[in-house]
Amino acid sequence: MDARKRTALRASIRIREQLGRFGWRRFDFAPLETAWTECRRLIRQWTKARRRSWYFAARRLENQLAYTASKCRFCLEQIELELQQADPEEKLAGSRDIFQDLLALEKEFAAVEIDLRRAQVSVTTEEILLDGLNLGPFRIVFSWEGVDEELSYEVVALQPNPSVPNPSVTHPHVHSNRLCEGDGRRAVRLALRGGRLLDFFLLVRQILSHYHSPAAYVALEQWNAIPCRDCGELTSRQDRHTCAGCEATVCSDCVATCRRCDQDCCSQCVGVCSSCRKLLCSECVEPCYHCSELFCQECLSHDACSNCRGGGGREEQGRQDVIPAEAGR
Amino acid sequence: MRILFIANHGGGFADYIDVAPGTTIQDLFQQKLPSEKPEDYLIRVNRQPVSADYGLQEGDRVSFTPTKIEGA
Repeated sequence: MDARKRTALRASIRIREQLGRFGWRRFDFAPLETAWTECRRLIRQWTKARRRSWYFAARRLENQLAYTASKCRFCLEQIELELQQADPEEKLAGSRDIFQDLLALEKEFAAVEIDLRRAQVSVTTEEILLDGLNLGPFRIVFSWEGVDEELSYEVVALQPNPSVPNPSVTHPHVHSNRLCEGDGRRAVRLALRGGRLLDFFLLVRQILSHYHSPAAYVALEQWNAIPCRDCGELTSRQDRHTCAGCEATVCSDCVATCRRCDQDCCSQCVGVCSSCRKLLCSECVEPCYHCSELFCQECLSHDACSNCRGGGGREEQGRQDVIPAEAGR
Repeated sequence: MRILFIANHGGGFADYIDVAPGTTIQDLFQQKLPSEKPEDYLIRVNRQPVSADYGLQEGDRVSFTPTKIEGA
């Protein structure tokens, strides 16, 4: 037996041991115990209410008791059903099956790694292409020491091409290295708990290879979308404008176009001529020397707006005060 | 004869079932998934792909895994 098979054999024995331990913890009696404790509390209260002739309180408690009793019955039925099913050990793969699964993985995946020290089996998928978007290969990492936990595996992008709106999303159905299995959830759990590692890895790969748009963390159409600086909505490539002033991304609804030079502007860089009310970029508006209001070049004459030019008064006086002082420097 | 049948679609299923001698993998697929197409599934017998006319043997391990599973 070569080193690769020896490692697979050791791993299969350890995985089987871990799954066997998990098998003992399959039954959850806690819901039944909770419901039964509630029943006993209600029975005590109901007895007390009857003894003291509290008619309405007793009726209310009877209703509550009926509900809690039905909950108890449901919990009991669930336990009975699970107990009647075959011993989980019977459906649990043996270490020989797990060993064969580990060897078979090599025919299904580009790379397979067994790490005894970390108690992990990992496989590498081919590049995942969804609707023309290359998300690169993924590594599916199964940790057998965490097999009794809800999540005992991770899906890691090896050449990440994360979504722009949320960099933690490396695949429409993967967030922070966790796969949201959707329709495959129960099959994945059954395969994991039964020790059917080949099925488990195949199921995860097939979920990764398919795009289900309604349930995606980030839809593929919005994968490279950037939020509009003004309204926060995600902008697609076709719906995206860059502000000439600050280079921020703005959507078609929020973009303002300078009426003078046709440049795109965001709300922070756009100006409005105080006289003709035209929208203008920051390059095409200038403040009136006197009143500091913004105007287009057509509405300014000698750096002054029509109001300041015609009004004279304090503003005009102020200008006369300033000009000689500046000229003298 | 008894085989281990694993259906990885829907809720998942893995158990021993009885099949008639001479049943091919194609027959089994049509029995178990009559409204489905074989090309939409990864079909494995004893962890290997097989041809449609493969005759099932006692103790075979058969798995049907959908090629498209909708994540959430």
